[in-house]
Amino acid sequence: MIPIKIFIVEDDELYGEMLKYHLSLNPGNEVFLYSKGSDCLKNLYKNPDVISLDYGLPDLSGHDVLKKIHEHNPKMPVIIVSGQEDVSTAVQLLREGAYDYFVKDDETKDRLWNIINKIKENIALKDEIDYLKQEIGKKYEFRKVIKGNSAPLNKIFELIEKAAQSNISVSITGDTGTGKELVAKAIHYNSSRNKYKFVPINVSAIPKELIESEMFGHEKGAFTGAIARKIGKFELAHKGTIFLDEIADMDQNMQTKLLRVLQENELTRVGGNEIVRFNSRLIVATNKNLADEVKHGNFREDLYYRILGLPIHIPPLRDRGNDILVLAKFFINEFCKENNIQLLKFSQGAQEKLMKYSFPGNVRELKAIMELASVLTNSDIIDENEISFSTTNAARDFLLEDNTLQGYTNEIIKYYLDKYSDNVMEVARRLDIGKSTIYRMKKNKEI
Amino acid sequence: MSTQTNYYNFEKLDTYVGGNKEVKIKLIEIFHRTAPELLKSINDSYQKNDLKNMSFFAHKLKSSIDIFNIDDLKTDIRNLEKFGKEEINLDKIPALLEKLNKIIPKAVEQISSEI
Repeated sequence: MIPIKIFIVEDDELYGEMLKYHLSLNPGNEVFLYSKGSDCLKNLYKNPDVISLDYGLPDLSGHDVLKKIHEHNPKMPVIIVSGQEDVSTAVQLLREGAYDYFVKDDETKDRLWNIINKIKENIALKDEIDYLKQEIGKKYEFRKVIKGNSAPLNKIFELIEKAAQSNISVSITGDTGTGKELVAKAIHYNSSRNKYKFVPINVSAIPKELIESEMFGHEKGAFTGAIARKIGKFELAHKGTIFLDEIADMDQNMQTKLLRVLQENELTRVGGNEIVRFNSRLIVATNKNLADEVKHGNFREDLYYRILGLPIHIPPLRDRGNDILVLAKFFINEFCKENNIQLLKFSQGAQEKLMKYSFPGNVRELKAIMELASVLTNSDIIDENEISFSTTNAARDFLLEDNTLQGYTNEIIKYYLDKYSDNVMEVARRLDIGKSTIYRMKKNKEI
Repeated sequence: MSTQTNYYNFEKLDTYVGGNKEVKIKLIEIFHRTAPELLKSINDSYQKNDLKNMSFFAHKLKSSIDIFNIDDLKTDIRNLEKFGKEEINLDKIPALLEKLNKIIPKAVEQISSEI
């Protein structure tokens, strides 16, 4: 148990000393006894963790002392101990923020003991939560967690800082696997909202019939299966951040509802009438080009402008230059630590192979490649043979090899001939070139 | 063999202090000092016809009477507190005070002799 400071405010000296003695039996309790309300108030600078307050003091009323204590610290638990049972007074004091109220009797000291132990547990839990929040904050110190030092990444860091310092909505774009959620979390945990929740919703992962309930909650009986009231993600994110991933996949009907909610900063749960106000920062992300989606009529233009806020584009890994190697080393080191294996290095060939690859799956793919290489290697050095790409988009990688325009043309025709079982007529039709050209190239062994 | 009535017992006090003699003596000393003061305040308030204050001091003396198990006064001190606070049964107050003035000094004397 953690040590705590307890104030006993009790004008009955005998009773006060008895309580002090009893509570001091726990060596973790530091107990102070005051016979007047004014003495208690004068000593609030000592920052007690809990106060036991006699309701009937000679100098100030219990109401007055409670009020002044809460002016000093609104969250201070104050237990009112009264000489007489008076339900209306008890209810009033509890309304005014008293932690508990009970009448002096033979059980008082034990009740006080138990309630203080509960308060201690709450303090310990609160400390633990504060500690964990700090740890999460540290975890998202973005310059540590988002690896790399390329110019595009440094530009993103600048934007994250700007976003974190304000409440502006943020729209993050980037290919799959580039780390959009990581950027969203970095903004949240480095902002003044970091004491509250970061609530992510993957729009494309929730069936469209359920998305409204998921986002805004529902009342009991709102639809078949709604057996109890459910609080939606927007309410959960009150004072924190709501992160709508894959926003471009939201259907039009829901887009309309979302727009209204964002404009009014209030929502109504499905099946309910109560208006719930909320205050959360909005961050959206998509791997699509939202402006194009607007042009094609798939996304509401008014919603687009409402959510655009500060746009942050995360470039694909292939455009982040040396970040590929920085990240590769990071993933290798993490994997080795987690699996208790010796730290591994890269051969020059492995590094060159990585730098030439297009990484269509971006950072997520690089991580998988490095973990596989760590397992495959038989020494403390990973060479190029252990770097294996399993991309589903291999066709584009031939562009990574330096070549002439004619060389690229030959590669394209070879690829199509393979794909269409050497059917020259079909390939000529698809590539819009003459079949004689293909025959000539074959005859000259160009392809 | 003494035939004097003991107005108190330490049963409740002992459960409170759990056999800690030092604390027990401290609480007895507090009783020795405060009970006569409170009794005087009760009498003075009644003399001044200040029944609210009389009730207030009776309330304060009540927990000492309970802790030292002065059984003869447990009901009377509550009645005195109630009558004064609600200003009822005023005719019964003098008898209650008389009993209080008789027993408290004796109880104080007896309890103090235990130190």
